[in-house]
Amino acid sequence: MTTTANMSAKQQPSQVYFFGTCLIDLFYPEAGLSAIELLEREGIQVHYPQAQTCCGQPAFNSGYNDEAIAVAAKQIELLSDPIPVIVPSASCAAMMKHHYPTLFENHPMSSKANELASRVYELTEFLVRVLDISLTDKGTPVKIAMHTSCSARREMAVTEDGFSLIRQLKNVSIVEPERASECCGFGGTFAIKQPEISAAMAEDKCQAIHNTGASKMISGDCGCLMNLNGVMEKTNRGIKGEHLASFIIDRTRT
Amino acid sequence: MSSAKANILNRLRSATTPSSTTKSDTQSISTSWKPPGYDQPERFARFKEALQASHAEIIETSEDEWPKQLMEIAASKCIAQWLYNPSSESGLRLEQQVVATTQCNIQLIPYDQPVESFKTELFNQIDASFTDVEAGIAETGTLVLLPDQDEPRLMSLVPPIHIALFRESTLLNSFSELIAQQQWSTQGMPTNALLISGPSKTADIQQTLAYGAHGPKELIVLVIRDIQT
Amino acid sequence: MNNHFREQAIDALADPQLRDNFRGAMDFLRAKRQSAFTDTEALKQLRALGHKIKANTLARLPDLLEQLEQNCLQNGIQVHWAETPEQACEVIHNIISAQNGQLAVKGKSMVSEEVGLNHYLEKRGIESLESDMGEYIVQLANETPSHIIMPAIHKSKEQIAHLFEDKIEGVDYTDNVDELIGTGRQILREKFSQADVGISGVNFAVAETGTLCLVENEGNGRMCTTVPSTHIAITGIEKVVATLDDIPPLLSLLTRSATGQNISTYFNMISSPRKTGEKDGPQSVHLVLLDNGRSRMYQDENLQQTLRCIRCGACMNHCPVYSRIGGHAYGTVYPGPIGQVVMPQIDGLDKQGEMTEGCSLNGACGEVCPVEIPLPNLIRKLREQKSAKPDGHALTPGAGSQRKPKEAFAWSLWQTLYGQPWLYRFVTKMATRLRHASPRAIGGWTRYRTAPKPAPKSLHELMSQRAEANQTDGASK
Repeated sequence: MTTTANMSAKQQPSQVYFFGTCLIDLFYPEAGLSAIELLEREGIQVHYPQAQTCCGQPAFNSGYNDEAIAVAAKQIELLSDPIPVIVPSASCAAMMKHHYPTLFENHPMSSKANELASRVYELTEFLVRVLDISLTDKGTPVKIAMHTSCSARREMAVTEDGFSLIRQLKNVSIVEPERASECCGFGGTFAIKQPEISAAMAEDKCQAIHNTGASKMISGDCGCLMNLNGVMEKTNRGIKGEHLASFIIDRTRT
Repeated sequence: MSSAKANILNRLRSATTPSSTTKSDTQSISTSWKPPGYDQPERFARFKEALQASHAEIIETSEDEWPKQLMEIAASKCIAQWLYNPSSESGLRLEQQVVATTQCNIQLIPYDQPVESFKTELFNQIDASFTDVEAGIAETGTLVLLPDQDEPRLMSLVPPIHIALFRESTLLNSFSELIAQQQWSTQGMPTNALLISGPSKTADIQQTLAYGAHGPKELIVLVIRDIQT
Repeated sequence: MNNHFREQAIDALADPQLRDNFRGAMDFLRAKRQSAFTDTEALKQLRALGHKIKANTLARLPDLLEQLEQNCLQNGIQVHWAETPEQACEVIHNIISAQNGQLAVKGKSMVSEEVGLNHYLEKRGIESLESDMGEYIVQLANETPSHIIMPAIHKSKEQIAHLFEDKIEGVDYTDNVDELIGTGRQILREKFSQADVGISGVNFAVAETGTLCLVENEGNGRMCTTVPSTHIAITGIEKVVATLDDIPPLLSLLTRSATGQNISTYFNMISSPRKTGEKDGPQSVHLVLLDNGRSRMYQDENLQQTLRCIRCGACMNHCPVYSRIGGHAYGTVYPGPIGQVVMPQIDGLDKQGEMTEGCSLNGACGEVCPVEIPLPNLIRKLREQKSAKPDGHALTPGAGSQRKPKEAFAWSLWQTLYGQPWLYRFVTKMATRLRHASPRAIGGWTRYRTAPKPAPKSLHELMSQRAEANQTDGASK
């Protein structure tokens, strides 16, 4: 295990693309900045193409594949240099890594889509598995509830990476809400199309997070954060969710 | 209706992609799964543990002792009407034991007529049945029964108590091993083959386990440890 | 008639008793499954094998069906083919009426629910009695199963106690489960010995030996297939397997995924009717092979994967939507994730397309599926077909019927916005500048949540400012 980590550390890329995602761009830019700062602190040159927009997932999940392809194709063209693409959201990362190949299966851009997919990393996955990052906690003791998104857990299989990063922070104790593996109810357009079911799921998740007694909720996906923070705020629960990158950068800044 | 058959088969045969292994799946289709194998003492331990977990009662006994133990069970369970197989060796020994036992109210009843004329008695009067077992499966704690004209299918189902005589020498590791041993693939299957793992049960009411849903409430297995360990 | 999934889901969410019943049951079944699969590597191997067996079977499906028929006939089992539910019901009715049958007892069979058999027979004066305890309860209550393996899972024991008290003569209220089951046992045993016909489903039909395999715990399946003089088994054409050797891994996957049992109490392998000299078993055995859309699913290389299903129910047990709304809200025979994939393909997307929206694509179902059916991908595929353009090539009936002009327009607008970087940047910049004027109410979202507010500056803007600052920095140095 150590050898592989060392090996990949040796092959550490000097440059990466940062794909900020449309949610972070408009609603959580500080999470994007934090992630970029984390990468730069490790000596990585981060490219942020200004022409990036959205991975295309909302249309894809709604069954509007032509529209998804049109938008996704722009991102594929844009992120064409052979360097890693870092995505601070497992759900968008999964779209690019796992769904682009099927979406573009019989498309002229098929091989480009596959090539891009092979370079896509979710942020925590890249920090842990490629950079083998070391963190030193400078914050005061705090108890946080960790919410792993379904895409992080299942499609990207990076649950452990998020945990291993936070575990490096000595003054942070981590708890998981009851039924941690159950969806928070976001699901993109699902929350708009089936608001009642989505809300029932979000309410249960917020209650479970509240029950942990943690003062903060940390997640690596802004979709979940937007959903859960919206409910927490509406129900005055007094817990706020924060993106994992922001949480880490705040506690490790010199 | 033969046109239905032709239509269905035609549609299936006209499919342009008869292979269901789509590209995204192929990578996951490789496997090194094998049925479990157990060493000698472990095999019986696994069998016993699994069968007991399924709520069966296991009584370890010997070739000499088992008929006497049957009488003890009969006494403790108040078995009076007892369904058995008079043409099997174990059925004969049960007969002899009943005769030899003084002050015994047990009436042994053979299943010697078609179910159509036997239904009332079978469903309403029999307290227990006694059968042999073809084999056992250690992995799942399972008894294998192959009902035939002497030990019909309902013997192990209708009476409230089913008592089975099992010899450790017939214990196999897995269901796969049973299929190979019986040579069913080449010799064909018997009319009916049953794998029985515990008494009848249900959890259909609020996930609460209840035994004797339709079949036996109790499964008692007399085990003859005929393997030297 | 269009299915009203959302309305039914809203009703279910508002029923606290129902919510409790399902939550408890799902937690229970999830824990049971987990305890049955402690070795994750072995599970991975076994699922891969299950996938492989079913995929190989499907690759040879027409040949295997013919082999199955041939071997069944050789064993004395009569085989019938039905393309539609009506044909299946008719075949079964003909068999029963040929012997003047009055009473049929049924083992649990979802395919018989799929064809509406009880209703068909009862309209023709034949009593068709469910004998699985859960099915019996559901039939007594005049309802349909809410789960494919635990039909009465939506009811508490108190609700069942009231039902028995109301519907069964001479039964007093008791919520003691043993007593309730005892009541069912007594009534149904009477019926088993009276019935003319026993009807069952099939879990696996083995082509090489012509064997029908049934999985159960209660013993009612054995009663139905042994006591009456006629046994009629009905199953979908996808339930065939090539060889006996395929059975052990599939059986292990089925029972462990379904209820966390290493094996069910009974595994019943039926290969022929009663032979000369045998005292029991049916005089005649019939097998009805149902298509009902399956051969059409088979034509689509993606949707064909639907046919791998072994009906364990694990997908619904792990579905966060099913766990909250229960089976009846789907309004279909098969609920939950597998229902969302099967039902639109059987009934058509025009009738059942809406239920594909009741999914957050969280992937829990696909993760537990014992034969690795990529359920979320198939749900997504059906969403695509449902709103496909009219010139599409989708085979599923009702494809394109749910294409709503407003929705299609919204997505083309979305494409324009996200497909033109300059427009996207302009619009997001406007949104950040007008953040205090951003809408406070966004449909269903803000009924339960506060509205998200755009940041003062987008990441694009912050990054371009940073780049400019760096450049000036560089220049001044």
